Amino acid sequence: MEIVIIRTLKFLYFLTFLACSVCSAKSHHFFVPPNKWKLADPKQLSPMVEMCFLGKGKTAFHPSINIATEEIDVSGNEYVSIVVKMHKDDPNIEFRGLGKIKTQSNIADLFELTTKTNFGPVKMLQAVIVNEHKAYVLTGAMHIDEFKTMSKTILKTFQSFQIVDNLVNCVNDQAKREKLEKAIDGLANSKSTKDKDWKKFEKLVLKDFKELGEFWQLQVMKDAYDSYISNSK
Amino acid sequence: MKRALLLLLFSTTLSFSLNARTTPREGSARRKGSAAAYSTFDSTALSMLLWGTGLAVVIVTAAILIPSSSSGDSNHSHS
Repeated sequence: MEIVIIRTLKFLYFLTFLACSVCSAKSHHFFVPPNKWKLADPKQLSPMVEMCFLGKGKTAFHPSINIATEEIDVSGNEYVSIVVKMHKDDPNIEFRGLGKIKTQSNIADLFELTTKTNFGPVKMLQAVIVNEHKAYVLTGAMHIDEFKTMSKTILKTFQSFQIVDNLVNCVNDQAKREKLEKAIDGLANSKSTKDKDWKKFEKLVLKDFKELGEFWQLQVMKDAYDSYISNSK
Repeated sequence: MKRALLLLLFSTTLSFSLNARTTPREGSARRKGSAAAYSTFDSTALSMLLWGTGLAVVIVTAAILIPSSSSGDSNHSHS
């Protein structure tokens, strides 16, 4: 009897360990920003907004795309309903649901928001994705005069959104992927971002992986920093 | 021995169920949809800044990495 209990306990602990490992596995997310758009100063961002890219438009109002995330304890449909209600209740926003849009990882709910600013009327496209108790909100804004052309750029960026377990696996070219893996392994002895190995790694990420965009490049560098540099302190 | 094992099993189950009950309660205290609200706000607020304020990825990397290694504090200018 005792042996059976011990075996059951061992099995239960194994299951718990397995469940914890799966739940704590760090996932990453990114989108490919439009070409030549610049990163906004992270110090200027609101809470929950992780990154923002600014484009060069034809008006004084510059187009932008940002991403905000939050942990949620409601279903995807409930979260979307909350967001829709919030926009509809806002007297400064004209809301329109645009259905669904497919991204690289998930299906997103798409909205169109119209508002007035000091630079004239502005349209926003917003995509809401819910995945495993986390909401990802992508918002692109543009002057109403540029909507026809700029909306395509914004939607293409939304469609590039992906949630991945491993950023390096996003590199399709095997030789380049191996080169990157080698550079990351080379950081094992790095103690700061001033080290030669880090500089080499940073140069490689920025120069050879432009096609994946600055969001991905930043995530790869931050991940490597957290794994090697911050752990060595 | 048997009693000790059963006690261990009971306490593990209890701690897991307590954890499962507290997590949603903590989440409910926060206003849901905040990410969408902040994202909407920033999309227009930052677009009205000068384009020249956009930064190179290497500068942003430094901006992200340096504060995280020195201090956990972050101040936001929005009220």
